[in-house]
Amino acid sequence: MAEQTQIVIRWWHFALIGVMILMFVMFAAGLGRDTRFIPSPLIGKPAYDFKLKQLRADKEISLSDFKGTAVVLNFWASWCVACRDEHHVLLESAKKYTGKPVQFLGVNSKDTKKAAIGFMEQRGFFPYPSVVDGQGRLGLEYGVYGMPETFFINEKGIIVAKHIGALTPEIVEKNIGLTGALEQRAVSISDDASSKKEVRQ
Amino acid sequence: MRVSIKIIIAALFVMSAPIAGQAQDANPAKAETAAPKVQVESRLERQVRNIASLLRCPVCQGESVYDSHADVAVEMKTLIAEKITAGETTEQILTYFKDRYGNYILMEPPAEGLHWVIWIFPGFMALLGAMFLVQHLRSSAKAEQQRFEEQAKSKEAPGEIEELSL
Repeated sequence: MAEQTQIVIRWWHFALIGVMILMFVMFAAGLGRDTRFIPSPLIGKPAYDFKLKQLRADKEISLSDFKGTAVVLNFWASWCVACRDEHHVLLESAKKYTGKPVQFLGVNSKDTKKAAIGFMEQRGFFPYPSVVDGQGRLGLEYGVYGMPETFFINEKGIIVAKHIGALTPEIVEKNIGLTGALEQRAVSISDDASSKKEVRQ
Repeated sequence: MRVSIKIIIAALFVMSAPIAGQAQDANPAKAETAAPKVQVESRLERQVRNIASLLRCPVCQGESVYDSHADVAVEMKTLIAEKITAGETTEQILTYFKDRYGNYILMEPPAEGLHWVIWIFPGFMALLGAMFLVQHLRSSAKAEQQRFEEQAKSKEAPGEIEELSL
């Protein structure tokens, strides 16, 4: 009788040790993860189409204006510190991909026109348009946590990648690669180039 | 003396009730006109609060959208109010945010997939602990009884046994 009790107690000991190991593994896995990279449920889904006013022109822009071209959609604001860090990366990348089927598009979110223009005057104007998302409503549609955040949309309008935080040239290159835009035939380039010109006017 | 103090306190309560009632009804005309507006607003606010309390503020640390004053949380509350006014259900509104931010946006992770572990774990641990405790108490009680029986059987003085049983 006494032996049986002994065996049962040992079994519970093993169960408790097992549970403690499981807890340790779960904590280690959870704490080791980079909290900035919360997987977006929007990856692989069609990008939300919008029609918003440009920051430096009265003309409105829709995302669908760029169908057939990969789009790098960058949410930024003048008050955002990390946006200052990635500013030169965006300027250089936009220049690098000129003439290629990649359209850069800014979304100036929760900002004022004056502050946004002042920001660009100080650091250089983006060679591509930015739309105004005054209250951050477009940010909600894209599940934006904070700024900057950048979405990489392929030529079919599907979000293939999202980057939270300041961009680096490597991140831009890698994610533009994911859109498959550079593997496209030269045929679409001429069309895209003409549509780009229209937008910039 | 004690009883009389109680009576005085009770009397004060009874006397103060009509005074409080009069104070509330001081301006009935104003109260009537203001009442419907307040009622409509509070209902929407309550609905917003119910939904916003279920959502996590994306830029805060463990704070709900309702509790947060961050820009994004304020905009989320405005959107929730708009959606309620447009006739959307709580489920539809929660799904809207879940589709864009993932399960992270929910204050309580849904009981599905791997999340089941989180929900089952505390109960499982409590059960395991309870079983362990019962087992431990049983065995120790048994050991205690055995010891007592052994002592009873021994040739010790009857007076000592009486003391032990007490």
